Amino acid sequence: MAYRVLIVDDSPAMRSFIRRVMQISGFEFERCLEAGDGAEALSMLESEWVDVILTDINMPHMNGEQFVRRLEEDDCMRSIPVLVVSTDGTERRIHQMLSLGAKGYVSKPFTPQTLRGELERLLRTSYV
Amino acid sequence: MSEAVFQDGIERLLTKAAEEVLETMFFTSVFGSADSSGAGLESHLLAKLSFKGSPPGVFWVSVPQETARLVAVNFLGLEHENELADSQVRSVIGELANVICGTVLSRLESNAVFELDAPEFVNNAESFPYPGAISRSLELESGTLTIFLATDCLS
Repeated sequence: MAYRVLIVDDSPAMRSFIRRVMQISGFEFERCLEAGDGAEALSMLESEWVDVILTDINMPHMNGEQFVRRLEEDDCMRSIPVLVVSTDGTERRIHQMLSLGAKGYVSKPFTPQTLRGELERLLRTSYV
Repeated sequence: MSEAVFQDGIERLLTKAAEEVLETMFFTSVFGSADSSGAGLESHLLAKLSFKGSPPGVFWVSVPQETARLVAVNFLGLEHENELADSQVRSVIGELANVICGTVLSRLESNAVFELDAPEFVNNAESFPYPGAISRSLELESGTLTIFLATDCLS
């Protein structure tokens, strides 16, 4: 099955890198949307459906924490699994984002295999 | 713990974090430590990243222009270096600084609270080297990359 993915990160280089790493890992996606922050992502989600969201935390306008909170407030959007991808690998931050509703967390640096493993875990769980 | 032991621990953490980031995410091989004499810095790309937290501090990545271009090519997966714009090189080196710094701070203290500012590029003439900064240099295929960390608890 090929999935629709949304990458939310204020760095175009990082968005490009994540897309490339998904390809390298063999993760099958039919479409990859990109947003520069949480606000842009929410706007996009009003007209586009995705199977999984990958989001950074530290972003302008609407950061990852605010974005996940907003997703949880929406009856439809809250069903989309969110994978946080961040340089902040502290236990405190991981616990915080998972408590807010994120379903997975990948700390940078990560390997293609790690990213694919987490994506497949989230998608397997969301379709059960 | 003595200051020397503490500094040695930080140096090892800097080295390990940088090696892991370069090899895992930037697809750039590291060939060991290098001399960090600071020679030639005037021709280097210098990314500075300030962070808030407990303690606050500053992190730098210094890399020769040509080495930065090759790291960027590896990160972006380009076929040829001539496909690369200068703005892309800065964007990638900024990301490199961001990821190494975040990795180091996360491993220094698992319950740390920190916030990284956006990286900026500075001239070597501006307040560098920073008093009390700990530095490590790594030998890459195309040159030497040096990282510096300065926090209130190191000065």
